[in-house]
Amino acid sequence: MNKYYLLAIALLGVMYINAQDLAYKIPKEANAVASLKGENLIELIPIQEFDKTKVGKEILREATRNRDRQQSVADLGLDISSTGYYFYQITDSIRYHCALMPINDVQKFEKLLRRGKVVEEDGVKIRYKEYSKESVIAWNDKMVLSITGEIIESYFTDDKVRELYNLPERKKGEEGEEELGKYLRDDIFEKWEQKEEITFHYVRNKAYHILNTPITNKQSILANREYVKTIDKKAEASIWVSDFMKIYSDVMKGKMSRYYSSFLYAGMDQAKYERQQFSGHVYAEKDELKMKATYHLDKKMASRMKKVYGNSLNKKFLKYINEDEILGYASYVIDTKGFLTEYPKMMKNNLGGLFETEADIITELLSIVLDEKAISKVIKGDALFLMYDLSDKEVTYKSYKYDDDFKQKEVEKTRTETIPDFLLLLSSSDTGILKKLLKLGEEKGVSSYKDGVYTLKHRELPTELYVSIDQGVIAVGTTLERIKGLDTSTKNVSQKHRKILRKNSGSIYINTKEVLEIAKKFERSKRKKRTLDYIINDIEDIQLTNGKVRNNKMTAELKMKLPEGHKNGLKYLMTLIENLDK
Amino acid sequence: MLKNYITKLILLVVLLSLTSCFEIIEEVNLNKDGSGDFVLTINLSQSKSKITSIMLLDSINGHKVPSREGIQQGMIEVVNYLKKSKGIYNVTKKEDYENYVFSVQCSFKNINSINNLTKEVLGKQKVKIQSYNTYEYDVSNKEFTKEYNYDSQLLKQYNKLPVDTKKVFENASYTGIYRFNEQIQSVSNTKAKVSKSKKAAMLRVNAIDLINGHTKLNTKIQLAK
Repeated sequence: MNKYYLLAIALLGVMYINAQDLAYKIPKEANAVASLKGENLIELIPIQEFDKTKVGKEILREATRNRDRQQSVADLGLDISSTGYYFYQITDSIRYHCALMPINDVQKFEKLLRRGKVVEEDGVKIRYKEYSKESVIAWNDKMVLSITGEIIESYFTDDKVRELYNLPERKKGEEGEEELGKYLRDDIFEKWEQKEEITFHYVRNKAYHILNTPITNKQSILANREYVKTIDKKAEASIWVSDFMKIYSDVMKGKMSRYYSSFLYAGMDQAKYERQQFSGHVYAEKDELKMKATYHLDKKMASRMKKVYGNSLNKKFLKYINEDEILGYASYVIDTKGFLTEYPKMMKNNLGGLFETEADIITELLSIVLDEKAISKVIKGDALFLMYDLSDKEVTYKSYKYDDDFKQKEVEKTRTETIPDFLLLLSSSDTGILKKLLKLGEEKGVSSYKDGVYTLKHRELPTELYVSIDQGVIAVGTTLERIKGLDTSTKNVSQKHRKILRKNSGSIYINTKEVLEIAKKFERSKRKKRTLDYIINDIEDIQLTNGKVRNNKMTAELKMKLPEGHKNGLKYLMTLIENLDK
Repeated sequence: MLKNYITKLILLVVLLSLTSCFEIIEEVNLNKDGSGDFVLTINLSQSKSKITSIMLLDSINGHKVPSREGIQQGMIEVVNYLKKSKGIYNVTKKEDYENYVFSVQCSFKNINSINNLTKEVLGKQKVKIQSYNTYEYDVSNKEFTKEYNYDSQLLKQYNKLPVDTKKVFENASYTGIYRFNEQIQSVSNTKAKVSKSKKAAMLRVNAIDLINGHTKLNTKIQLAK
């Protein structure tokens, strides 16, 4: 059976009766753990209903291909009522990708397996393919483990390690050749088979170890306090990464060692990061679908981020919003001064030990050249982009008229064009330089000033832009009326959006129904129009927020309220998938 | 080679896909002795807002957007090419970057000199198509002939385009105007109109019909003897 498919079942499958939780089989040192909670999901959608869904049918079809057809995913031998896990572990010699799932009927499960060799030792069966030994499926009566190994080649450059694995001594590379250490990288493994056999040795041992060796609670991930703290029983799916930067640098190193010099490779190791965790959860609740991601920053990074994201959105922006008319908005708040002082330090940190003196000089120079305080007065760092409807605008164009003798005469005609109607708001406590620039624009014929509004017109701009500067708010937009007509009585913004905009360092809101209505106008295919019609009637607004730094954490949330008529988020998603596929 | 041409054609189409429409005007003023003037105009003015937007980007759909300097350089190359061409003189160009109207004008001693000109001009702008025009004027019989060679690849490539991109061609047009000193006696192409003075003929066709091969630009104009 395809290893990816087993992984998908472990993560997607699920359901029935409470069973053992396999978390105790995950080593404490795991670098990342993902889980899909079966019992939560069967509460949301009973197994009989799930079998009838497109996803359920697809799983059954794929799992029982060329085998006896089963009627239910509950009959696959996998205990899909408990939690399925994926974990990732990096050691000095290998990276493991593992998927774990309980078995409730080993005979049924074995029927799912397709071609491959099976070896058995102490009640553990391991199935592998001769031509792809780096991935195996191992199982006993209680659980199944899919495991894939990726050798870390640098480990096998050590002479003692090479001797242990019967690898021949390596030849030295010519000067200037692509090398890892002082040797040519092609010499690490002379043959592909050597690498595959060593990987097989590792994954087989790992499989036996996980399935057969009793792991005490102290050795399991459940003894990792940081992991345990992030567990949320209400979430349907979760992910936890113990050290985000370690995995990032490990992935980068993997890529770099092949394509870049060992010089950069060395630099990645020295980046001065402390451990920064990441955790994420998906909730399919009764009234909403929600995704939540949290960055657990180290103290130094958290204090830097607090300086960068310390500010709130300018309150005066709110009076420009007419919630009934907007298609969506995007807000972003940084403290320009904090950003300009902290960003070079973060860059220096990213370089680790590399160019330390140079990085110091550049940081100092930037500090001298840039007057952070003065710049932060001109651009405070908060911005709000409001997207209104698409509006029709009359534009002129050149065409030709022909007289009776077909002699050409150039004429100016007009046509209606649809252009996006937007408003961008920025804060500034020193608008002097902008006013001077606009004045210069007037002299150069690019801008004009009337009734407190500057009009920018240039052949390189697709449409005219209007700019107003009022009480420290710079407004740039495509509609004169919106820039001029700051009549507060006609503007309204709900308490909900006020809170989102003011309390977060960033947010995106999409009035989904309206946006899709517009998309429908431009859609010509009848099938796509029908699909859009369905979605319009069965979707609610989408909101993304990025919170400020609190308790050394930054949290981002993506939410959508469920439309009426759906019992919960999971059922909604299943129905949506089915209808979109029609 | 063909693949290269098709890629270039697609590039043109991608660029034009974000314009809503365009027109190509070809004018020939023919003297009695077979000499005359030729003007080729590409008018993208109706789509100027969209082109201005595209020009603000570095690339679109993975294709590099030509810079203004790039277009200017291309136009200079076209002019230089024409100046070096045998039988062609008085070469001038007009570039209007506010309205996106570009034209090249030249005089010729014999109309044969401008054969394949449209193809070469587009080729200099890195767009190579296999459809091209050839002209002939028989001074003694006073017969003007325009032959249009249709390339079926045009339709094949057009059919591969997304529905939205195809929309661009719905309002696009090609206009050919042929002016003479003498009156026109007959015009073979039924779609061509003859002016009141009978000294000019105009053929205006929809781009879609040209792509489909439904409309032929072939015309034989017999002048009064």
